[in-house]
Amino acid sequence: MLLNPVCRTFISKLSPFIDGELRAAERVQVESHLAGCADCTRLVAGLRAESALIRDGLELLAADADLRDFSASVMARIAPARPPLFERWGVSLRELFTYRRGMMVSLAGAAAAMLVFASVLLRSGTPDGYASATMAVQAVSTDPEAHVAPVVMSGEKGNAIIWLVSHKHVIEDTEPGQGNQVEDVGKEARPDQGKTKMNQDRPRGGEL
Amino acid sequence: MRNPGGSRRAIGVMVLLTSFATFAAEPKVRVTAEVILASNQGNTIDPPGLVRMKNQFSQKGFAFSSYRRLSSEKLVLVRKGVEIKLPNLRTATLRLEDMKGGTATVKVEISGLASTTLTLGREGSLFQHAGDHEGGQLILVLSPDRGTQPRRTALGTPRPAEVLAREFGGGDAGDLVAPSP
Repeated sequence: MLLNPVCRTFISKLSPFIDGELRAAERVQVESHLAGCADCTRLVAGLRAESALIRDGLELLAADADLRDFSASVMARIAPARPPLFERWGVSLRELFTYRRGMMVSLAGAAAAMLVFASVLLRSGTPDGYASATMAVQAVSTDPEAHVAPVVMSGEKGNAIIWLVSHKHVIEDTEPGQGNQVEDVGKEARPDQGKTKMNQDRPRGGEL
Repeated sequence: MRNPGGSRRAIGVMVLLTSFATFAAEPKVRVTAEVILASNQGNTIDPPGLVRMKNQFSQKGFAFSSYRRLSSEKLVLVRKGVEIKLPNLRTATLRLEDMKGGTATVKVEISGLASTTLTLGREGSLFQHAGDHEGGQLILVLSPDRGTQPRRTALGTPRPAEVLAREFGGGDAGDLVAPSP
């Protein structure tokens, strides 16, 4: 069988021919030979039948296989084990200091400077604006159009009530001669102007 | 080997620090501003802690039977004024006037009524009459912000208006005395 030396030169090309793996020129040569060679044509038919049989068998096997978790199971096998968090951080830091040394040094310097700056700010102790122990009223003035006068009542520990009374409740000085009336509406009144008591015509319940 | 990006990063860090320092250096002060409505309509004390304020105001001659807190705000005062809309359509403007030696001078202006200038302290509170409203009287209470006190607990913990009012003493000979009606 296949004693024809010409056929022998084509035997190695028949299987690639069936699988479509030959180049165009070789494919033309094989087709020309097959047109005139019954033996090779039978051989090709046999190879095709064999291939079909194998394909059908594989398809049957594939149909029986359970591939529902195939991707997940494959990925689970090929994924590397996840190292602990601190180990990953350590690796990341080592890589950064190895390959991004300049950036890391700059960042570390900036962080240190910010820490120093923040600690200086926090160490100032007293909050901004509260260096004094107690609050203190410096001045009170009223709107001339309002026709009211301020009454300043100082309490302990810096507490102060600023109450506004109408002109009919004008305050009179209880210590004559000290000039501590607060009846000049629209002018500045000092809370420490002296010991003053309200007139008989006092506001009721803070009324204006 | 010299890193070409190093100088740029250094400049960036300097700019960041400078802007942070500028922001931190801008004078500002934190206060708590509360608006209280005192009236003789009913006997409502809301919140209940205002009963101390009622008692202390009574000692000063005010006979309000009802004290209600209408609002409470934490403010950061800067030179540009901060406005509080009062329910009687007036506006309270709080402005940081000056900051010397760590002490803030604040001006409280009630539109169309009065303005008060005071220096802030770690203790004390300002009770500023802010006009009438719905048959009662509005009181603007200016207190140190709670956040300004934590490192000074030995000198007194931060207290809201109703607690601060407790500290008013009745025996100050220099006080103006406004007796009960």
